[in-house]
Amino acid sequence: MARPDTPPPKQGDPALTLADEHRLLDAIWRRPPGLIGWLKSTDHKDIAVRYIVTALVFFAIGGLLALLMRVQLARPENTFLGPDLYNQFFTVHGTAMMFLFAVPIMEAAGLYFVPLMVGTRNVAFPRLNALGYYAFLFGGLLLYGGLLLNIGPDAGWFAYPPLSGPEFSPGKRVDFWAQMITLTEISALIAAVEIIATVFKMRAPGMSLNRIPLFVWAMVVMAFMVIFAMPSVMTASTMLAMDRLTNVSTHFFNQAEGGDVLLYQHLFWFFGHPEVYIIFVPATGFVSAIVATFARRDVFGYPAMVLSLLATGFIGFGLWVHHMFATPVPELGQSFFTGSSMLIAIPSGIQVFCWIATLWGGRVRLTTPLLFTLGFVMLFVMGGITGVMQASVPIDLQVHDTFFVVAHFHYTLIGGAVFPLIGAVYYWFPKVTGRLMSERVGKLNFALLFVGFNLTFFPMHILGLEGMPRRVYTYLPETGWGDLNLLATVGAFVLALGVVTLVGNMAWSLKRGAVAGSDPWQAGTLEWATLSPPPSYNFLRPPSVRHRSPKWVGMEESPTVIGLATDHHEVLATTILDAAPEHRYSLPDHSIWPLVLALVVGSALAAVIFHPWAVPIGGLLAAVVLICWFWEGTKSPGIPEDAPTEGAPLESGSQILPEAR
Amino acid sequence: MKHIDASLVPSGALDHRGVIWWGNLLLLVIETTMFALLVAVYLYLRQNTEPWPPPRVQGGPPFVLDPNPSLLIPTINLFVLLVALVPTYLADKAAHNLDWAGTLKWDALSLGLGWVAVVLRFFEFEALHFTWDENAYASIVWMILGVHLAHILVVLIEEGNTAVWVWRRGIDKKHALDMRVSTIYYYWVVGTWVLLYPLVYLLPRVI
Repeated sequence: MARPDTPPPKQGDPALTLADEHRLLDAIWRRPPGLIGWLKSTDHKDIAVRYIVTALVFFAIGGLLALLMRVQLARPENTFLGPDLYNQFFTVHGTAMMFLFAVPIMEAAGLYFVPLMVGTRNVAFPRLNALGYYAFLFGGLLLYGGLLLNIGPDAGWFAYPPLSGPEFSPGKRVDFWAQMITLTEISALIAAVEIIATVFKMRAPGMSLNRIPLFVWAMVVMAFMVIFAMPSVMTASTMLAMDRLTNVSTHFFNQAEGGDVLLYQHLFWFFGHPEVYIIFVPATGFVSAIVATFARRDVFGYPAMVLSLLATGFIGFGLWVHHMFATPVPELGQSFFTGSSMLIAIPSGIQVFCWIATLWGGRVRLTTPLLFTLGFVMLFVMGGITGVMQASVPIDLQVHDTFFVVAHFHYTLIGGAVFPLIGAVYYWFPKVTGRLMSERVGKLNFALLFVGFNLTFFPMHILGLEGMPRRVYTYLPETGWGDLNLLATVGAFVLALGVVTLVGNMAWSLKRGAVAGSDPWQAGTLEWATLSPPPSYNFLRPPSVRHRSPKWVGMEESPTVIGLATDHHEVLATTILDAAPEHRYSLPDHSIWPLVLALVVGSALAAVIFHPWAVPIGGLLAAVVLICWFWEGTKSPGIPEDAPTEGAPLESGSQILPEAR
Repeated sequence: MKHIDASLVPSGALDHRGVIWWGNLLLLVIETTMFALLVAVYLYLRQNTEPWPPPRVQGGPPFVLDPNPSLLIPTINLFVLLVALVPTYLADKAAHNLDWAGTLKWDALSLGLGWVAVVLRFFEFEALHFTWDENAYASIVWMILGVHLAHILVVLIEEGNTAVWVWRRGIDKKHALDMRVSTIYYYWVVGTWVLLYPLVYLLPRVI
């Protein structure tokens, strides 16, 4: 490829001042102006913020549905919601909270902070990342669109056949669910690939495996779990959609023609149980980051923490049958899955004790993020204990399909993931927006959520033990469940008030919060080493690392990276284990094609609800768009022929990677 | 202030050090997981159905027909795919030597054999003797063949696209890396079929 006679200056060129470097870099990394520019953005921070805002909106709608269900259940024989609407609400509530809120928002936190924490300028494949967001958005619109038209899915968030099959769920309700799954799982898989490739290949020089922040480790474990779990639910939902679609009518789950409904349950829970850890593991990453900062010391037992995360990742795949103890599972299978369900409490327990030890040995500042973290420890331990109880087959059979299970998984999911998430919102809001959230409102916020949560869900333990079944739209007065249900409904309103307080605090702080500066908490990891909010290129001079908490230990003396291009998106790629500088990697520019491809794929998947020809036609259109995408990418400069060979010595005096941990 | 001068390391990497190489590998891990699930579904359904494949009957004599898939076309196709590996390997090697003519020559052969495999795959569906909506056995074998066909098409479009680029604009290191990635994908597509072919065609005849 022809090159200009005078190559454009690289960073560190004596002809450039730091102000020049900023100007040149910002000009290429910043998204183009205007609405089109906004749609073209491939900046990981833009994409992640869109994910977070969208997921919070989907969360609010899902929460509103829950509130309406609580109103319906507040007293016996209530007629506020009919059975049909109630079925749609609990299905869409569960589906939205899992697929449109919990997983995307956890991955979004990774997409925002992983590049910053590993000290690079974007994720590994920026255009693919944008595609993931748009696919997620269209998936969410599909699900809620169905509900708005009063044809929302109504067969539960897991859509078990035969109830969800063509015979017992005619119409198109379940198909909305199945296609939403495909779109959101495409998005989840893309985000997982982004996170792993970024962490493997784009870490700051010197960030060897044993210096990777625990948050980043948690994101990598989550991403690998996504890669192995999500294909299972996509396979299951695709087979279900094919069974349902006239003109296709396969028989995967049709017992009469050799299919099997339990096969569906296996496929679903082979995804569904790891899913719980896909949500929980990133939350432990938040907790580790917050605990370290506010105890002002590194987390106790780093190797034990990392090994626990990895162990959780593996054991998480060996539990799925405990969701099926009420089906004819062989006894040996029951024993195995009972054992593994108890086993997984060990790595979780190790993490909890490490956090306690960290706080014990630290100088604790009791800020709002830490309060939410402490709330998490308490609630998650409670949810964990009821989980271990249900690992036992006889107890499981007794409480199966009762409110006891509802109480259990809300303790693990809200206690184990949403509390750390809100802690993370308070912790990183100043980094994302440049302003701190109000601490005083934050403490009120915590009190409302903690009290509201326990009022709502603790009574459900008792209701479940008294025999109240899940997924019923009403109950008789003679059951005596009315008082506790009323209490839970009151709690739900307190909980909702807590969420309103959170949103209010965010909105108020966005404009009027105290200016944060680059590092309001005196934290140790790299995201605090740049401005708040971070500039378009993240770091003017990307850092190198000599310590696990680089900002706490002599960061000023670590060398910074120069020699990167100022005329196109270039980053430094490093080796996988030691993060030694390896080569320069050119990223593509901002692009409209991800949006176009998502529109094509989204429309094709919506159309396939009605006719199978949407698949070949959509596939052809997608191929055309992908070819355009490829040819656009080639506009960035190719690899010049004269680059030095591998192993060229670095500038003298810049050898890094000392032995210190 | 000490510095690490990034301009001293090479620009781009052509092999497993490349970032896109890892992206491709992760994609293949996802796809392999999906094929493993399809195999699991096949074996799970099999334990429900005796005999396997289910009986194949017709209205007139001889009334009962062999339910096993025919072997001729599928076996020819397996060899077509295996032979296609040779030009694919040589195209990759030529691309890495920045040999424009060699890349295009071997690529044309690799793509040609790939399209032959696509055409033969449609006859393979016929060799199954069942349509997808007859029973669960037919549903899963059609799905295995169909999903694999989709992957053949993807790699042919990917490699063909790169080949057109090379043809129009010459070969450079960036596109040599693209060629390496689609070559690995090609190997993987053929490799999965080496495992799936005996499952679909041989296993029901043996046990």
